[in-house]
Amino acid sequence: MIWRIAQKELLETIRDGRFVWTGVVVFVLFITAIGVGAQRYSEDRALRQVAEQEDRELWLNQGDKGPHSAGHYGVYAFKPATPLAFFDPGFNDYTGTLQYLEAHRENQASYKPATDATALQRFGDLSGAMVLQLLTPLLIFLLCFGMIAGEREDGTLRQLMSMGVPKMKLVWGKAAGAGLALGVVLIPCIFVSAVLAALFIQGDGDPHTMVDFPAKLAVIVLVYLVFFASLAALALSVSIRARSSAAALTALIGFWIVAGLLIPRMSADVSKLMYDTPSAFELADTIQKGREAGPRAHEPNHPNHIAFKKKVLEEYGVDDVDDLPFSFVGLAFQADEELGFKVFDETFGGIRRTFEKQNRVRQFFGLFSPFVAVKTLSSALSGTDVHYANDFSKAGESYRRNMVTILNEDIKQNATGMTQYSAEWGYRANKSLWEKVPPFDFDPPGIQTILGRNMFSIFVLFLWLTGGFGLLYMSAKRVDSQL
Amino acid sequence: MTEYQTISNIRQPRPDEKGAGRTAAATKEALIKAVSLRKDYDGHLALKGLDLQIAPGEIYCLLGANGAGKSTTINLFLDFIKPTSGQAFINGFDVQEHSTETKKFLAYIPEIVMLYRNLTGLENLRYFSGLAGHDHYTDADLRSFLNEAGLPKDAPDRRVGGYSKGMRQKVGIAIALAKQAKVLLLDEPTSGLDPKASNEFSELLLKLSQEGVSILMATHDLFRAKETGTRVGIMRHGELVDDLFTEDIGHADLERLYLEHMHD
Repeated sequence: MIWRIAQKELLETIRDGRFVWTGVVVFVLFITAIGVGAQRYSEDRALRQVAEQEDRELWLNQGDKGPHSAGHYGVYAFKPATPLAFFDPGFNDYTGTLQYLEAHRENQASYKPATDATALQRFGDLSGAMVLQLLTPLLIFLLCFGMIAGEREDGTLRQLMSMGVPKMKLVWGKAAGAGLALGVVLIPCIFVSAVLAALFIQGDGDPHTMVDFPAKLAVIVLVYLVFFASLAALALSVSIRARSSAAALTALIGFWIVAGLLIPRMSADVSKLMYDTPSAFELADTIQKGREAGPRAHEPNHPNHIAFKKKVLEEYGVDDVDDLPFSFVGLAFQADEELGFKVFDETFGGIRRTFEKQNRVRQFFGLFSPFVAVKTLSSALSGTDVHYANDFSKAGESYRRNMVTILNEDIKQNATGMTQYSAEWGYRANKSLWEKVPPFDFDPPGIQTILGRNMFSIFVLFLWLTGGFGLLYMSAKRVDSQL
Repeated sequence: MTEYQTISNIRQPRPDEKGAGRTAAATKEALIKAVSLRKDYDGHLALKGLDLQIAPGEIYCLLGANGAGKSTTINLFLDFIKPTSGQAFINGFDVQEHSTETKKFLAYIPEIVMLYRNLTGLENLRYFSGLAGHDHYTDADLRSFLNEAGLPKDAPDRRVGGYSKGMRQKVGIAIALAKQAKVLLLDEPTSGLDPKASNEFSELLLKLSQEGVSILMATHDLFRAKETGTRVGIMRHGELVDDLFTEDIGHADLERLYLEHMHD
């Protein structure tokens, strides 16, 4: 009986021009977004691969020079993207795409697309995820709002109830019918986007970006299915309880505006109000102050430098730096860097923790809007959330620390017996040292890490699912209350 | 005889042979039965303790002005509304306790049969009879029901959106036929039908009653009630004020009686 009802709903829905046209619009927007996203992804990937290679070549072929000078020359780390990023760009526009790694400084990732964008763009570019997160819910609401309320108005519900149809079966049949109609729109979407993705992303066997790809894809599909099912259950419940189909539609569109548009924006603002991030100026000031106590490797006449030298000489029981078994300046550079590591850990670590706190606040708003939970999970699984950007930043910084340590160690070991000036500027290292610094490598977080970080959103989405179906179950008893 | 005393203090069936036999038939196994059925809408008494029994093969016509309680009675038998007190039975089952089961025995035709306008007549019939548990009908079976109900040959494959009221009514009849119901609940089913369609409808009712179907029909058509009905009941302000066999009364008498009741 449920199947019969579902089939009839599908037939009626397809014969109703409104759904067909809305569905066609959603389909066209989705495949356009996926097509554009996939093309942009493959272009970005090609650019990134070329740039990575060029930067590595430049590093290796920078010629013979002082290792510290090479440290100032630095390298660039390019943020890789997982293939799902073309579907959901997430926060990518607000997190930088490359990070400059050099001596003395921890830089933040730069080149954020949002810096070139207008305020309007905060509502998001057209992406596959946006079509699924905002437009598909609208389609579900348009599909479901009249399923019971409309039949009540048309009088067919009386006819139906006089047939002896159990209310619960009627409701499940309607839900299944909504699922079928949605499938008619979404299955071609998935099929076409799979073909597009395969065309644009073929040959992307890069093990770094493909970490747990099948598992991530499976979970993201599940997340959207749960999201759609919750919304359909909610919409059907409203259709049962509303006084008229117009009232049901109004209530659902209202929910869409508040939960789909307002709360996600508001959650970002509230999270910033609760956990403010310092300005770039404040940040520079904190770092400056923190590093003041350093040995000032470049400034031999600075009191800190003199004090540090005195301490080292006493430690080794020698009178002159030239008598040390290693190069003093190499040691001083490293000591300066190590103080820097501590300062950066405190300041940037603090900022990353603030971002994570903001993220938690945003996730909390999922309790009021399933759109927030789905947005969080979708961007996390697509590798475009704040965590991913933080992971990349941290990987860049630990690469930088390794790089400067290798360079300073080389000065320390090989620039012995040289004066301060000649050790800093006279000692030349060559390609064999540059080769000791490995190419930058970043592994995106695996599925377990991602799920672990987003347990709250998973829980919230599950809550919406059980809540939606619980409400539908309770509402089903009221199907015939206004006959 | 006593069973009608509470509801008919004006005119009782005469205790002649025929009447006695008919009453015996009614008591045997009433397919439609109301026991002290009351419906109170926040102080407005829509139905004041109705007692009624309709035997197999009987066509009971409920007459009365709008708001007299006819539709309330039918809605109570459909379990679309809950009685304040009393019970309604279909085929011996309490409709409140066995809401879904009792509907298997009955078919309901309202004043305007409501159908899915985007589906054809045939699709509507297939859907409704499928929901009633009759999955086994072939398209030919369904077409013959529509034909029997008097729907024009070319209509079953057209969408219901373009049907006239009469055609919708005929699909409603076909749904009832396909359901093989023992009980028909009809709420002014012929109002607005042309005399020919109305006549065809009456013929069908007579045919069904010969097959043992019990029919409860709310109507304003005194002529049809006398022609088709085996019994008529006159309702006023939620009370059944008269209950009689149609063969005991002529057209003119019925009309006079009806007007008398409406007058005071």
